[in-house]
Amino acid sequence: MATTLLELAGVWAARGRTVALRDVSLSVPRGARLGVFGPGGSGKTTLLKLLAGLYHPSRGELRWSPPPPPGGLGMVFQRDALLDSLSALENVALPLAGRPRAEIVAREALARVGLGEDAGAKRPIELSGGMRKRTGLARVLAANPPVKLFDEPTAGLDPATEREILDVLDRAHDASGLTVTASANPEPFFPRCDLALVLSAGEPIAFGEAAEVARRGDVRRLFGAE
Amino acid sequence: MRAFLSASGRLVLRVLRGVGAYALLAGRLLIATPRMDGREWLRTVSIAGVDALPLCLVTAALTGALVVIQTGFYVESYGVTSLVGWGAGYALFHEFAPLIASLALSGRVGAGQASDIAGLRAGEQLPALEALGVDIDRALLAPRFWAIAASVVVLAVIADVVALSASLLVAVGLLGVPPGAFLASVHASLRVADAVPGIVKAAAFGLALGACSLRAGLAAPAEARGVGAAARRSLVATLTAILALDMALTGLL
Repeated sequence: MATTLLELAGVWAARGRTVALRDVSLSVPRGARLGVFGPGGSGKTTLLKLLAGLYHPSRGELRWSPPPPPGGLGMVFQRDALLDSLSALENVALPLAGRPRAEIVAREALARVGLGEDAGAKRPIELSGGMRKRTGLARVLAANPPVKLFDEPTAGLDPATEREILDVLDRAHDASGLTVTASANPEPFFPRCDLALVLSAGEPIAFGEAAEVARRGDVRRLFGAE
Repeated sequence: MRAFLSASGRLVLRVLRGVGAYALLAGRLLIATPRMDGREWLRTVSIAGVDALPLCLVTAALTGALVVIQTGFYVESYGVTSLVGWGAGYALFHEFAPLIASLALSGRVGAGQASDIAGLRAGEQLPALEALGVDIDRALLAPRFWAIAASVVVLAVIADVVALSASLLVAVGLLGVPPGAFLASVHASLRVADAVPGIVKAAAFGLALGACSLRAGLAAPAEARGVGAAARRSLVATLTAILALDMALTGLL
């Protein structure tokens, strides 16, 4: 049985008077692919930011066993979060500073998400929304941290590109780490996840094996499948 | 009495928080400096220089001309046109050139840096990089800080030359001072050492400008309204710091 890598016990997240997450408890083993699903405003991004250490729980406990080392965790944000002053290639190479073959690794990561030399030389402002999204993904793939957090990785992509990106994300999974994917559209992700957490208005309404969660009536109703 | 004490206490705490924040920023920048990203430094220098250069050239030329126009009446009245070169050079080297360079940069570049950093926080670029283990002090903050400081010094030297040239043109055209006499006056009365106070001032103004603009960007709320607030804060903080430093350094140098 795989050891537990991540544990949340009664975690709440509040900013001012706004409560974004209420009483989330879960345990995730090493090597799992966790899907976090819910409609807009359900607390998915807040949960990912808690995992990334960008927010702290206002109540409850979040434990990593062991905590990811510096650079051991990468997050792709809903917005592409690229620096407009750098080219796409330089953006991807940024987390690789000081590593050998940084530029080659960055080029390979861009190629994995379907972006060639031309796109790599352009600044983010010169790229389409989908290309910017893929550049953000390439940056995490290049850094290849064991823990990867993807917030709406396929939002705004056409169906063919979406399938390609899902395959890329599958291949990027580290069996000794953790991949967490958040989406408001869970259908394409359920078959690719081991575990699923469904949030509604900040509250967890389902957590367990992804296949079982996908069959639940309340979950299907939440996403308009019934 | 209680309200006065309460207000005084709040003010003291605010000042101490500000001092602490600047001390922390200075520490972060110093630690990151030996490993800072040279390409980001070069990029910021080229952007800052290009951005502020036209404003710096225009204000330097106008200031150089104004110094001679303002003193022209008295110089002619007392028949000491031979001192015009010295007077203009002294005022420009010691006072106006570093002020012109730093004020041009604070308006064009300092406020821009502050809103850029605030925008990077609001747009989640900085959190994204931090989550990936990127040292933003090394990659962004230290190079930009030193690039702004260096730009002020370089622009101050350019402002010296442009302003003095404008002084020469106005002295020749308006007061009828022979160019040779103007230049001889500059050469005879001003030494290389006279440029040092201006350069020291420019360096101090540059460091203040870099610190104030980065601090304003980092302290702004990480949301869209923070971008404009950061630019305003940066402008107010840099103008206050530059003029306060000018007062202090003029007494010392």
